[in-house]
Amino acid sequence: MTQAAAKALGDVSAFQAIFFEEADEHLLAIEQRLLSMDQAAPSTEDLNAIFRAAHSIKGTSGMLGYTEIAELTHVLENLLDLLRKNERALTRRDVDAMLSAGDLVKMQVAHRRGALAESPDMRAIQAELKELADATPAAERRFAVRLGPLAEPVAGAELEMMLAGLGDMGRVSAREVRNVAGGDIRFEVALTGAEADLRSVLALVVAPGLVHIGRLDAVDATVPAAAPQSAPPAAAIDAPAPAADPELDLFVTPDAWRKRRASDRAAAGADEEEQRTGRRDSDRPLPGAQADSASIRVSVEKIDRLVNLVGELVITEAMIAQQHGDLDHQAPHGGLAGLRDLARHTRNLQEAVMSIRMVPISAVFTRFPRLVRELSQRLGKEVELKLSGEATELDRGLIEKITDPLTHLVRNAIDHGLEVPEQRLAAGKPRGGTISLSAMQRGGNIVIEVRDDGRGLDRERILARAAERGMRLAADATDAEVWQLIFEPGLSTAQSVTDVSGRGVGMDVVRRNIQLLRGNVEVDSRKGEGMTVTVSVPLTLAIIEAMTVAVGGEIYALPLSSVIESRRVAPEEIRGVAGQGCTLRVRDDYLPVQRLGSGEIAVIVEAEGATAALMVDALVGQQQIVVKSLEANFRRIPGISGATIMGDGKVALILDIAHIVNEADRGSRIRH
Amino acid sequence: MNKSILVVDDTRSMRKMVATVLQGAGYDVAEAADGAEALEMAKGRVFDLVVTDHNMPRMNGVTLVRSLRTLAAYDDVALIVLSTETGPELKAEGRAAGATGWMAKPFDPTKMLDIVRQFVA
Repeated sequence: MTQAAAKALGDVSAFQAIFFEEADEHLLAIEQRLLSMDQAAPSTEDLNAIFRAAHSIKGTSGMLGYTEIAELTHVLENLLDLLRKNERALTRRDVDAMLSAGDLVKMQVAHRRGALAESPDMRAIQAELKELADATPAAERRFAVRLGPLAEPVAGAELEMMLAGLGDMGRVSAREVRNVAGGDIRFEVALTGAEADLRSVLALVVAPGLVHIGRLDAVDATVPAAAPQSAPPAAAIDAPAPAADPELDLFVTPDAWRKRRASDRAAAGADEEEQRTGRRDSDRPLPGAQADSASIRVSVEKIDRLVNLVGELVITEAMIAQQHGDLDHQAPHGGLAGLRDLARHTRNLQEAVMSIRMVPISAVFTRFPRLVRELSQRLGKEVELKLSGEATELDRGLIEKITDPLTHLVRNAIDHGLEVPEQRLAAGKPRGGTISLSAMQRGGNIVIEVRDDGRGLDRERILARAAERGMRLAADATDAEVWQLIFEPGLSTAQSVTDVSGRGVGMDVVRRNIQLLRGNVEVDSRKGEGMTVTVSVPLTLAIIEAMTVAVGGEIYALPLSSVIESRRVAPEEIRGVAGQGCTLRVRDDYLPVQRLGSGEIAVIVEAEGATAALMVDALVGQQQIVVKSLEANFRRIPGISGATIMGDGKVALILDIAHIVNEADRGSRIRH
Repeated sequence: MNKSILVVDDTRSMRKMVATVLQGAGYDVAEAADGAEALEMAKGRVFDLVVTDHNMPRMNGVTLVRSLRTLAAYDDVALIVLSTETGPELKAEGRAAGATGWMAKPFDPTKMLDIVRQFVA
């Protein structure tokens, strides 16, 4: 690009940023379509969409000088073009090659963005795509041929020879011969060869300048079926030879254009001109012109800042309300109404802002078709993946954190849950297994289900494994109790260790990760029929319902979701030796006690399946709190999961219940 | 009043590049993301020139050109196709539909401005 050209384009970094984003979207779309389309009968719509995505990437990367990307997407596009024009049947190898090509483009984009140090080698995949495209048997194409106007008749023998020659190459039809001076010879020919071959054969009989060839079936799948007919073959036949400049082909010269326009304008009456001018003056942005503003891109940082500011506002509002509550009756009525409005608007604003952070769970689900495809191929299993509720929204922060646990569950389902086709057939099931992933909102939670129709959990084996590890359950334990065991560290029921799911590490990690999100995991299974894992997480991490307690003059917050009950206890109810852990008898259980203060109020809390009693001085209340990261603002402290600012402006620490319960549990175990 | 140009491309980055080049030269630029949207916009407002991509969802560039030529107001408006596709058959189709010219992507911004200048006059 010349210097002047670069200047005309201005600062390219802005376009680069758009391109990176766009490329990610297109690559994802390509992958999704490739995985979801019916390989036996791919729809034109899918193929066109994939083609357009590759085409878009190619266009911009060419402009930005990303030649590797432009070249690879070019060969990808060639293959897709053959596919969408039905000149080639889609094979599995095609799909694999296109998926790999997508991966490499993704890496190359990452490299260009600076996220990947090395530029990936794209030559192998480029060769593969080219080979696939080249191996396509040439489809028959139809041409309309006109030879003429003839200066003199063509010798009959020569004409026969030429037609016979064409007959060898393809089929000649619709002949119309006016073999006289000034006449022409017209016919249609269908052949698999190239247009150039046809041209050279015809040039044997007449001067090359008299050979006019037009494509009769130049189909562009994106053109409505009726379109090609409106361009009469004659027009195509008269098409000029390609222009000298491959980058620019003007069908009308600027001079001819100006003249034509001038005469058109002169011919048009003054009235009409006025009308047109009038219409031009009424120029105004139309709704269509605003299409871009239907959605805008905003950086996550900006949104997070907004969320934080709203959090502060919520706190300030609570402070004012509290101070006002103290004054209560002295305040004038106008002030009261104003405060109520402020409270309402603040709540609405908070909801609206939080909704900006909400992202459909499809952001996670979209990775699974690929995973399922690759894993099932590797394990020799046939798997159908069903997704539902992809539009369900949850907080962006959660999306990132829930991806790993869900991936683990899906891997587990394919690796351990589903049987190989032979086993399934022997069990009277269909060859292919099904994995269903669904998401839905239930109250303030998002419930995600991973269901498979595989072999299900084996009660006996789990109990045996548990016994080996010294965990014993009563013989009449319910299935639900037995299934809980799979969440124990080191307990895997897989008969063989595979590189897919590994051994033992799995469900316990899944549960811990989900619990870190203040969610929980449940398992339901029936032997031979499959297993369902239900993951439930709160909609957002930023605001939680909390119980506030007083300890030694400070206020602490506990996530309400982990509080079971609270009660006053007499000192003699707590037993044990000081310093070695105490227990509190609650109904039939002895719970480890963790003393936070010297008070006599016990808050029974639960996390990760364990329960403990926290001794606090007093219960303060229950309220929504905005969670602030302690790590981001101070540093990480064991036992504290974050901080919040209370209505009176004081900071309250949020207790990490899981940590505290584990500590308490360890303390009481030492005693045993 | 500045001359107005409608830029049609489904690829946002490409559309922005064309728009930036034209805006830099002082033209009033409107953008459409595909042929169908462009046609709607063109019906409500007569642009002085249209630069359109060919391969787009809903309505491609050649079809847009053909549709625009059926509107009396677009009789003498230059319609330039800007596409990575430069096959002679497709170009011939574009010409038959009424396109004024066919420019290849990647495009040279100076060359584009040069052409645009000659046709909006």
